[in-house]
Amino acid sequence: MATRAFRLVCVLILLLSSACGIRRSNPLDPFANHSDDFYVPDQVTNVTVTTTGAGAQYKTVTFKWTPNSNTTTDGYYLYRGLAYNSIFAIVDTVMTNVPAPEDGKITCIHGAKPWHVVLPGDYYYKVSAWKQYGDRRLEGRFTSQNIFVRVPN
Amino acid sequence: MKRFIITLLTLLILGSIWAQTGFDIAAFSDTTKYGWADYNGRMEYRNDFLERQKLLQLYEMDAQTVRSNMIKSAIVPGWGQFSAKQPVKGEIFLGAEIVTVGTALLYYDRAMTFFRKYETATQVDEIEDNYKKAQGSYQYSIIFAGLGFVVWAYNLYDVVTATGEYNSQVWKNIMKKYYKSPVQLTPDGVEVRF
Repeated sequence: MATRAFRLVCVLILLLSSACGIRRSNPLDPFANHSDDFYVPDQVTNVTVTTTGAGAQYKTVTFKWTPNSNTTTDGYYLYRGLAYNSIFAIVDTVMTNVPAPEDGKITCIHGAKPWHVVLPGDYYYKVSAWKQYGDRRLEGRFTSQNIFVRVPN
Repeated sequence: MKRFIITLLTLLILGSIWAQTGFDIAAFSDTTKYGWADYNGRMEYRNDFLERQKLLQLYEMDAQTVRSNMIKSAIVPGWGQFSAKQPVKGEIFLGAEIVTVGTALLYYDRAMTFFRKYETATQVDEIEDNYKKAQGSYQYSIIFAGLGFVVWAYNLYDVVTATGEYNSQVWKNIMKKYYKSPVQLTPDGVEVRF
């Protein structure tokens, strides 16, 4: 009888203890922040890419995509990696969500700024949108697939 | 006044005579009720009793209290079992406690690492991924801590029986030694039996 009660207590302790959890304390966590003016940036869609042709002195890669809603997005990040599943690093930041008037798309030209380094080769790019909250930016989901880009020599 | 004293004395004498007739002197003086057939039997019993008292003193010198062993086991699981000469059990409890508490700490550390990453993360997938990892590790750490508690509690429960077993073994050993050896070590000194 005592052994059975002991086992029961053990099972109860284990069940109760496993029910404990960590508090969601990150203010950018969509599951933690329930305020009405909190939005998660949408995923970036319809990304098109063009590169400078072979023999160009300064190589650039131009990306264009459909802008997100202004409610959810303040800007975009452009990432680049050397392989599909490699580590990606931010190579450019778009500080606006205002589309170009001629085509109504957001444009990002990697290689247009003096600190950009675009060498011939194969790269993978991905894009995400962000929204500013105080001094931090909440970044949305990446493009559904990493974009393969070949920069010709 | 004289009459009163005479009546009182008469009552006292009659009372004592009545008490003597009512008291079963034969039953009172029957030594066989204690298992003594005669004077020798009584002496034998007495000697045996005194010897047992000496053995009890020896037993009390070697016996352990449940309280002290419980305190030992509460501080370090298995310590009480080691004291009660059950080293295998002691090793099992100590090992189980080290493994469970160690694993719990490991998972807790892992959970806190992911939690710090979660707190600084700004990308939704990263936030969710780190939170899930932190939460998973935290739950494992709690489960192992619970297991550690169960092991600790069972170790306390076990030390009671282990101490009882040890004490009964001490008594058995004392009895065995006493009845086997002609030379006895008693609290009063060395005693040689012929």
